[in-house]
Amino acid sequence: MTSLERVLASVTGENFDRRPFSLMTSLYGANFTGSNLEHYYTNPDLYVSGQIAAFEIFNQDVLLNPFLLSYLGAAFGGAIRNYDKQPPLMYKPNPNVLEGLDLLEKPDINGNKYLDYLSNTLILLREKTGDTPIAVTNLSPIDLPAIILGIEGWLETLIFKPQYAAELLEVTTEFFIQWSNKNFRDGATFIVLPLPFCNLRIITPKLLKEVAIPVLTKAFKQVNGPIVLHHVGTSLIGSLDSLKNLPNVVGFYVGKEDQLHSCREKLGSKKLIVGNIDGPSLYRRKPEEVKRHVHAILDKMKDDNSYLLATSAADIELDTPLENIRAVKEGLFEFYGVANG
Amino acid sequence: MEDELLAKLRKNLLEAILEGEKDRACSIIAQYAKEYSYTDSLQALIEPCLEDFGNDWGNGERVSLGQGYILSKVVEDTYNHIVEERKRNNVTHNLKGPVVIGNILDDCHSLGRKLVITFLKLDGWEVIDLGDDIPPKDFVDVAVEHNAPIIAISAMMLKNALNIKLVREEINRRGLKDKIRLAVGGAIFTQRRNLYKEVGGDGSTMNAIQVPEMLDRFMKELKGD
Repeated sequence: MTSLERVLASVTGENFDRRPFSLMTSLYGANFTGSNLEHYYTNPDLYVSGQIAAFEIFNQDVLLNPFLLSYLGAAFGGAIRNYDKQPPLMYKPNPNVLEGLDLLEKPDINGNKYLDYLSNTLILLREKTGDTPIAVTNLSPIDLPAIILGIEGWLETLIFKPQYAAELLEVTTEFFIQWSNKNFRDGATFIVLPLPFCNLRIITPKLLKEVAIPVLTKAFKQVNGPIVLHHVGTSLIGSLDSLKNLPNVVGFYVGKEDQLHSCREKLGSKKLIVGNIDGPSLYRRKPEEVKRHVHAILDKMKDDNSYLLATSAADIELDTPLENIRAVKEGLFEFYGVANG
Repeated sequence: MEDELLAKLRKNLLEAILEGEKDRACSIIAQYAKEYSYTDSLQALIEPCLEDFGNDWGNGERVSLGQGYILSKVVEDTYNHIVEERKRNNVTHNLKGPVVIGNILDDCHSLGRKLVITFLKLDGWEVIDLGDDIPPKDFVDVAVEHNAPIIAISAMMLKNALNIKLVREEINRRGLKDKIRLAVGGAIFTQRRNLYKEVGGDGSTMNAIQVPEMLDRFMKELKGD
């Protein structure tokens, strides 16, 4: 089977030759380019060469466009900062935005340097890798404001300035629909949406029900492809009942805190579950330990075709020993009796 | 006030906060303060509310950051009234601390820090807030300048949290290990319970409400109690 066939089989719950898997190597790919991160995250050729090099070693079934939510914030006028060992992060939101919506930069999805980088990388990655599934990380309309205003600014607005929140949500909904549909035109197989502002550890049940869910329902309906929702490093299980029936949502990334069987009970048999190896902590584990962990997860989920093994949470750290990452693949291949390439 | 009535007010206050109704919560406290005072409301209403809320906050089961944020706004409002009352009545108040607080180098996620400041002020601490993205050396410089026994540092993400190690190194390098306690916190510390030790912290809590209690413990340790 090809990677695409495996992933599709997993989405539809059909049989596969071996379970598909995914690795969060967006950052790690830089190791194979000999380039510093500033170049890696501004030059699509470098990024794509890094991802292809990682793919040749790890043989994962899902490739990733740059995991750079900060570039979405930068497109809306926020300031980012570059680092030696981690991707650019939002440093400060656009200070004008809290003053009024008329001061908000609304980025042109075809003419903004940050969006152009993400778009050109995706187009190139698609050109170079045939029909291998590509996941694109994006931000939903309810979460985009957190990167535009900052977390505190958005929480304050949501709770105490509902009119301003509603107006901003209209802007982010329109952007989200246009940008996601461009991602699909450019070659995305599915988009991944981290959802902190749908997590009941972050927002109130009232905000989830009365603001977040209606906004997401309206936006997701207008997106021309599948969506996978992401836990963002904290358990999403409390919100699954509210999120599982949103339009176009085919699956959920779950975190290391989330019990796979509990998630399956909440989601029913048809939704894809993705996870739950903690990618950022792989650097401090031993390859044998990683393999044992992979075996244990696969054994637990052996009767569940709608499960995709993956490192979740944030990027795999740049300094992670290559053997530790390869151990995910080796553990999975061993489990299914596939020869390691 | 009768116990039954007080219990009802406490229940209503907590409900208002959990339902996201800041104005309703503030008016419950104002109603009490009209008969007694905002200063009295601290012990009668706010502290029991903080205790109930704090028990649930951090275990992730019942309350959210958003509800914590609303609580902090209610507390801030009450605290401002208390300060006014003290001024009106010429009441002097001995402050604890001071504590030097800030977000570590590269970290600009100020929400958690601001929540902690609110609860520390309510508990009677003098707080020196350095703000976001603070170089490690600055924390120690300011602590020495103000003779502060406690440095409290916030970080949201792992990479930034690891910069706190540099503060620990600076404290130790200057021979201040037994004079300054290092409190650390932020989202990543609630997810990785032993991370505070890895970065050289003396302690961490699961939420902002628990910070004053931890700092009281640090002060006792420093005094040798």
